Amino acid sequence: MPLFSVKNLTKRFGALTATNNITLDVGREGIMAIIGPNGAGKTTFFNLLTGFIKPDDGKIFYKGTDVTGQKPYRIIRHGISRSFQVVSIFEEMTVLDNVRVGVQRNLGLMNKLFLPYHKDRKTTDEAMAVLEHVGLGHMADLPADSIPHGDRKILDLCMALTSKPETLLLDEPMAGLSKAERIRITSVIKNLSLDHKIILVEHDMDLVFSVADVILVLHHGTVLAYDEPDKVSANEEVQSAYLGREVADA
Amino acid sequence: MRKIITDPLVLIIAVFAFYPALPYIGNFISLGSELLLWFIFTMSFNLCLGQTGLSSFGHGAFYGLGSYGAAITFLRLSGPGSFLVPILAGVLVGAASAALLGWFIKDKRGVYFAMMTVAFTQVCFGICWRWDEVTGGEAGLSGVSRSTFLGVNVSNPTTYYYVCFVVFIVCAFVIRAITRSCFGLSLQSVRQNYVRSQYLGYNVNLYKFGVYTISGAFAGMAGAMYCLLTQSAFADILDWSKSGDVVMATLLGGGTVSFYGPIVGSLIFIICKNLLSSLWDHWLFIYGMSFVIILCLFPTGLMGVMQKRKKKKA
Ligand SMILES: Nc1ncnc2c1ncn2[C@@H]1O[C@H](COP(=O)(O)OP(=O)(O)OP(=O)(O)O)[C@@H](O)[C@H]1O
Ligand SMILES: [Mg+2]
Repeated sequence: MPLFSVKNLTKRFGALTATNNITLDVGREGIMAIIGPNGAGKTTFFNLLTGFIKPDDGKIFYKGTDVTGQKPYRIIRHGISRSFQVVSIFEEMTVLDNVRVGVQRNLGLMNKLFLPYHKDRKTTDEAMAVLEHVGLGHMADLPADSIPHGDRKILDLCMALTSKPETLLLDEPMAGLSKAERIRITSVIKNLSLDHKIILVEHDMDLVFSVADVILVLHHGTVLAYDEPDKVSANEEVQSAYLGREVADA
Repeated sequence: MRKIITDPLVLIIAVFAFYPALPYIGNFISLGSELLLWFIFTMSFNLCLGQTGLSSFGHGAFYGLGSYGAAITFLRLSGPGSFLVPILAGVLVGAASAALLGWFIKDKRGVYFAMMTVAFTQVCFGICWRWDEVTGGEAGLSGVSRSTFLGVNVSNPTTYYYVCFVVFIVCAFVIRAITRSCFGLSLQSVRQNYVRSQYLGYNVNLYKFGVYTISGAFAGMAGAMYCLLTQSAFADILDWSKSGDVVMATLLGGGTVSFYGPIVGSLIFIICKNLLSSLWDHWLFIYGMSFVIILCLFPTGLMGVMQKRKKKKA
């Protein structure tokens, strides 16, 4: 059974069709990368898969279950989680509390009216473990808005892990990062792929071709190619629409 | 021990324990009671604004309905000699009306949410102002009285002050515990980034509904006790300007950054209202001007200024 099964998925924003009648099955193996020029509809595709926006048409199945139109807080209960292209964290909290929000929800403590949140050992331990796992442990008590961009990006990813997802949707995890930070995130992602199914949107072709097992190319909301990396790079349509321009830019 | 002594809430409680003995102001004992009830009311409001980011700018509705709830219960059901029942009725009415409104506007945000709450208050005002048979219309309801409660004579203003004092202490600790709880952190997450909150598994709208109901209960309690303080209920308290006062007091005190903001703000507001208004009819003009100036200079209010100073020292 495929992981995601998408049938005739369509989303319009006024006159613009951001997702145009996409039908595809996402297999279960390895890392899948989604590429495409700016405005191709990659983020919109993620927003549809996770129920942040409702499709105008079409259906989404996750492991055979129809999840079309389910809100994000329901979607994540199926074992799906995501990170954000533009860092989406709780800016006024400490790094640790950012992770705590997710952990306490996963432990079922989020409605405890009189349990002081910072005193719950289990939440704290688990949140610290998540942070240490990705090397943010030493920043736990800093305000989230005070740490460097690369660490914010990792924190964003960290928060997606708190629901213990099976499938991770990562929207441009490398956006705005330096060379060193890119290497760090690449290893984090490779590590995560050992026990998660990963779908990744990325403009960084080095990352895409070094980690992806299969690549989906979107262009104007439609599927241009969906194949193994070497076949995609050989695809002429893809080259002219996207890769060609990258090469020309370089 | 040190923690207890430096606890701002303990300081506030200590000061108010001796309020009746304070020079000059201590003579106005019902002003003290009103202050304590305002603290409860604004703290309940700040559970929405400061904690969850809900601009409940018509929060006076729950205070007012709590007050009417208590008055009507007293006059029609429980009768002279009752005390606890009308107060509980006020709590119930406050919670129920907030739940009702909250259910319909739980998916609204920002200005839309604010306008719906203001409109709701206006509707409540209209009903109370017009429905002569039940709410007494323009004349309001009077004839509420206090006698004894648990063997204590609460008709005495000073005794009643201490009843308000005890209720305030309980409410303050309960509300503060909520803000520091896991549930409180969930609410924080809704305020700071509701999109992310959803993606961490929170049904954001349900939290908005939940906190609104809780807040309505506290506001209703404050209103009910205010009804017993003044021994009456008038449509005035449902006037939109009353709701505006709460917003101003909370912002001025710094409710968006501190649990103590609403208390500090109400203290200043109520004292200004009573002192300045006896000096000059147009006191609101001065108050309003200072409000604008202070918030322009210090958007996070007085507690915001205090916190910044503390941080600089550290
Ligand atoms: N909420 C929205 N309302 C209106 N238009 C939108 C909305 N979200 C996306 N769009 C439009 O849909 C198109 C696809 O946007 P999307 O964000 O999915 O692109 P993308 O492939 O993620 O691009 P990028 O690489 O820049 O992140 C764009 O033209 C965008 O302007
Ligand atoms: Mg995008």
